[in-house]
Amino acid sequence: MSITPQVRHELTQARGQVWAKHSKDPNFTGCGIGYRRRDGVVTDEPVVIAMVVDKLPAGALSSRRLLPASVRVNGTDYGVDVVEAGPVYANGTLDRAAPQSVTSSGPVTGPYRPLVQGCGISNSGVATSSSSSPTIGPAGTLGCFVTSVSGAVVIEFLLSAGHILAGGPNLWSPSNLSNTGNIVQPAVSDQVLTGTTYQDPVAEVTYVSPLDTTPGSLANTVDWGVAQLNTDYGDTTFAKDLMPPISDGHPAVGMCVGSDAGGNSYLARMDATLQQVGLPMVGMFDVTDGTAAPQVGMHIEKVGRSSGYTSSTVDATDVIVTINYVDPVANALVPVTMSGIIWSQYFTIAGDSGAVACQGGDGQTYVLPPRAPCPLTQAVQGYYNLPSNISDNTLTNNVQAKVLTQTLAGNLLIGLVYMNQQTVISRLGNSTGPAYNQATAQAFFQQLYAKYRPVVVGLLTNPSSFTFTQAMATDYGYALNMLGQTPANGGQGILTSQEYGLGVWLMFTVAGLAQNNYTYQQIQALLDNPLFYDQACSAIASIPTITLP
Amino acid sequence: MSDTTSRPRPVRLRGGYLTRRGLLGGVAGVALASFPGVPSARGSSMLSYQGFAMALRVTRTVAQFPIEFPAFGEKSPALARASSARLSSAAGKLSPHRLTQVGAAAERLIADGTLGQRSDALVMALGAHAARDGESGGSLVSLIALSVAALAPDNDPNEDGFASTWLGGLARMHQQDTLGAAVTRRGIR
Repeated sequence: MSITPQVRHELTQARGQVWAKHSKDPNFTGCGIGYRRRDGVVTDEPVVIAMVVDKLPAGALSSRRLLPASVRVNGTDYGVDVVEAGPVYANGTLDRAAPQSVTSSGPVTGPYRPLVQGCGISNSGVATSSSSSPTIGPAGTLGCFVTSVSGAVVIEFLLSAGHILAGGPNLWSPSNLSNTGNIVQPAVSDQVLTGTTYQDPVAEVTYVSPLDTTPGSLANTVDWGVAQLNTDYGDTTFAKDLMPPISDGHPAVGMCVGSDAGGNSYLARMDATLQQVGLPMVGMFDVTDGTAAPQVGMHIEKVGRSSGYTSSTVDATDVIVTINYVDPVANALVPVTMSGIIWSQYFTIAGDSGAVACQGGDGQTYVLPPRAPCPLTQAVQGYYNLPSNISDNTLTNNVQAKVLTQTLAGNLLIGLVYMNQQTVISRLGNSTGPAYNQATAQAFFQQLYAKYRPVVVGLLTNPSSFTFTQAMATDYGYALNMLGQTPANGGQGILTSQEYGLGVWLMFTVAGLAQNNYTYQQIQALLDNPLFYDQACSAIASIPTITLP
Repeated sequence: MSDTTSRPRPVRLRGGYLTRRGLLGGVAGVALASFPGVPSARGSSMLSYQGFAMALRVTRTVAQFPIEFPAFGEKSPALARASSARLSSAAGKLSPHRLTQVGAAAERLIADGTLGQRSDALVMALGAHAARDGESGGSLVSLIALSVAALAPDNDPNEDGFASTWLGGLARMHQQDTLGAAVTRRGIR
């Protein structure tokens, strides 16, 4: 099963159409070329793979945002398969906590002399004007060694992801004196954890490929840097001998650069990377010796600092995807569009950036990403100091899938939550009055959480037993007032007056549900009533601070 | 039918009795306006005027703390709705059992000396009792439910409903040691 050059060429055009139309949609992560999946099984139909953060029901999306079922190129219709992926982050990690043993072979955080491929490294730190101590760079992985031969002089360099060697995106340049480009092994964060210091740099950065941060720019295809070794040589074995060295029979395919919380991994092509580096790997003659072009379905394997040895498959090529880089100096996210990228799944996690993936392996030695709650849940849990119950993610997913998706207004609510979640997160992150207001809100919302979590579980387990009560209506009204009243009046002032007005409008509906003791089925019928849906849409559309899906 | 149910036994109050037939005593030394005894829906139970006064103070507190109680479609502010007439009307819907609970809760608060003290002391006492009572809410939840029904008549004073939320919130603030600061800053009357 392989995609012919002609089909790939046309699929590339189809992918370009999808990207051009949807790249600015915040729910759109990227797109590439691969095979359609049905019920988790890969078919032999070559398609454009469109990646979205959340697969929303068609009814919850405007026609402008709806992804096409197919795209026509030269008279041929190519299917579009939508998968959930993103948001994607560069795979360096600033986490100071010990990496979890997510696989039997990882993490690879110990000291290695001589240096080996697959071990953890980082920039020793970037000096900043605002702090006396340098900002520690993200931990990543030593990919491989490249060499420069000039007569009898042989110089070896280590090759890794550019943002790892630079300590962040675009943080190194020859003229940037605040960044010495010193590379240490183990990574600084791993040294802190063990209490053992290896301050002497093992290499010094020679060059880092710049990233074009222009929104939508398709100029970025690679993310690499090289650092000249301060030691005599690097050992071309992989850490713990977890996989064979790179060779023509075990060629390098990609370099890990990004991943998301759902197990999606993104790699830059290794042949393209080495062509830009302009140096061959140690033991090779030409720059592309020991490399192979990625093919959809190809098995790949790697050794990385955080997840150790893993093996998966190439699930898409020619991917255009926006990767969010963390700038630790500016404490900001820098979105960078990358093109020509490889998509794989359950292959890397944060800290594996720079690891080189080779062709081989069983294609199913996976790493599952550490479970992380959704950002909105996390923000709400943090603000109200609610229990960080990981099963709440499953619970909210079930409410979405089993309850909300069944009705018009339910789907509207799903879209509203998604489209406005960043607003909620920002407001919760900002000051909402004196501390005592937040403390009061925390106590009452903790009480509501304790009271209603079992109700929601019961609703999902046995919907027919659910009845809307007056207590629920009063609780709703009180919670609305806590959100809407000003801090001076004891509230949080999180809602604008118009948003509060919308909540009051909804209160009349809620009161009606309570007075008539609506059952679950009656509530669902109301939420699926086009008249109610239209009224809700009109009411929401009149509020400038709320984005309609 | 047992004698207990056919002949109601008085519930001991501090300085008086609350029975299903009427008030047998009063609280001495507390200057109060004259509040009526409140007949229950069953027609035979009464709440002492001290108990009624306590219930009214609690209702005024619920109306203001930690936020103004929502309007729920009414035009008058919450504090104005915390009136003796509305409280009397809500109490008239109480079952004998709930009325007994309300009386017991009022007695607990009167025993704390909160009837003659500032409202912030009453909130602190409510928080402390709620934290001690735990999830059951004890008799206090009946008293708060009566207040809620006075402020928002759609609520049944015989059901815990929102009262458990309000009291639970107060209990948490007491346990988290945030109640005092909130009461002081809120400046309730």
